Amino acid sequence: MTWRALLALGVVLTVPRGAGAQAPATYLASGIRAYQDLEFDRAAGLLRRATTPGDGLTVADLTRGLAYLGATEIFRSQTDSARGAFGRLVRADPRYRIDGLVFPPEVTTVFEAVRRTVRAVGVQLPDSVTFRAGQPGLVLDLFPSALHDVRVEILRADGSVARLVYAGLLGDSLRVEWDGRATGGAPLPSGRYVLAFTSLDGSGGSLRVIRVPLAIALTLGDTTPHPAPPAEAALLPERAPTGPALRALLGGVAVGLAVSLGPSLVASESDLSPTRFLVGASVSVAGLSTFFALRPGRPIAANITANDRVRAAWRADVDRVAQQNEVLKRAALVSIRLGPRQVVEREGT
Amino acid sequence: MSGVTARLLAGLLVLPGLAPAQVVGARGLIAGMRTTTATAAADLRLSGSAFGFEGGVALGPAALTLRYLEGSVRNDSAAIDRDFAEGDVTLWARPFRWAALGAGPHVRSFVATGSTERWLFWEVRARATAGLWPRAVDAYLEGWAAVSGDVDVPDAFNSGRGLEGGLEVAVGRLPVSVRLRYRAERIGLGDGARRETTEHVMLGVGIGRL
Repeated sequence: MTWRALLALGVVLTVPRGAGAQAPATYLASGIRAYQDLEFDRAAGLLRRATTPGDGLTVADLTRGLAYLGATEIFRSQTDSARGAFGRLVRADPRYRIDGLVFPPEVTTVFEAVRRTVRAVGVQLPDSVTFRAGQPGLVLDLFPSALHDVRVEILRADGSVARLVYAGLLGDSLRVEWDGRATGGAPLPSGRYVLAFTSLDGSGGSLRVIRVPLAIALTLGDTTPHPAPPAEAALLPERAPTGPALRALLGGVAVGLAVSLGPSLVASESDLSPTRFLVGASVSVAGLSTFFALRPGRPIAANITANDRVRAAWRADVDRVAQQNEVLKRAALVSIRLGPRQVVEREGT
Repeated sequence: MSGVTARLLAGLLVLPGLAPAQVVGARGLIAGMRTTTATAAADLRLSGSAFGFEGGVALGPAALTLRYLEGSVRNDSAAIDRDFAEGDVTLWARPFRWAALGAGPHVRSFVATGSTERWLFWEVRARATAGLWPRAVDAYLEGWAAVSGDVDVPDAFNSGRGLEGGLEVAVGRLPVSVRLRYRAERIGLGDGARRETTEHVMLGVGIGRL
């Protein structure tokens, strides 16, 4: 290896790493100069290199480069290439409009024709936001390239829809707001979700989706525990117990027998009349009647009614606490951190 | 009815300033009655009816009751007709809700033409109550024994005992109660030479519960 080759290798190795990152911007500036100098073939090459996907241009420089590339291709009579460049331009920034003072009408006409056929939505989002659930906290600004159907949804990790924020035709810019609640009205629990903006074709198929990861943290206020159901001790027996009926039966029969047979222990049988049997039988029948009236297991209507009142009062308490808790939950603090957006296009668009 | 007992009952019923724990009751009585006087020579049975009243006042676990009956008994075949009156006063202690012990005098007189028999016994009593229907129907059994007696008949008092049982029913929500009872007692005189057996079937209706 000669000393010249070694010198050249040293120069290459000592070039700052940032120099590579500046190349697309340099190509862009050179391409625009070539366009202005009417050197369209050279401009096309430079601008194509500058706008190569993933080359690190800012969105503003990329759209500028694509606008000049489209115009260049028109002047090179490469209309399909021009349409391709303008299509990329519209998808990169659906709000972009060709400046009529910079480009001639034949360029703006082609661009407008392309813009009307490309269905894409631009969105403007905050990096993070904190708000009280139920308030219009997350503000989403939507900018369509052309009139088309758009859906804005909050998706769970499994892809199911937690909340449909907007669905409908979008022809002009639109501001939609999300209050932190799921479809049912309850605040969305803490977790990871996706905010999806879907551009639809005429048959409802998805053309283009912008997916924005959401990290949601829900801070609840202190909720009140539900009141415990009424304890057994607080309720009256709804079925007649065995004790009172049995006591009535035994008491009545015992006293009845004692009245019937006891007097013969006190006096001679010959001195006694049979009337004692009448009274003794009356007492026994009273005991027996009471036993059947109080029969064990008999429903006690008054107690059932009283217990129903106690249970109804408890249920009313539970409902009241649930409502209070629901109010607290609905007023929970929602913190949302939005991640980098990802665009998914249907193939062939 | 003697004036003294009537005034005593009236006084009990109008006791001023009764505390809630105090209970007052009174009821009228109607009774069918039969007495058997058995001697070595013959048995004499008399039957009849009687009317009277009973009343009482309870203060916590203590109670005082009195009872008075008067009427007549007769034996048509023997052409015997006697008026009679009897009463008792008992002081009760109620150690349990279902049991009570009491003691007091029991007097009885039979009035025949030209003579009057007077009987006086001091008796101890025990009563047990079985509630059949809460606060509405009670059955009870009461037994007693005479610990001493004084009779103005030729034979001296020897022994006395008795038994009573029945049913007390509250009438609806009113403070009215009805009591049906059977009562039998036997008094021995001399050395078993004479025995007096008395039976009552009594129906009482009144206010309050005793």
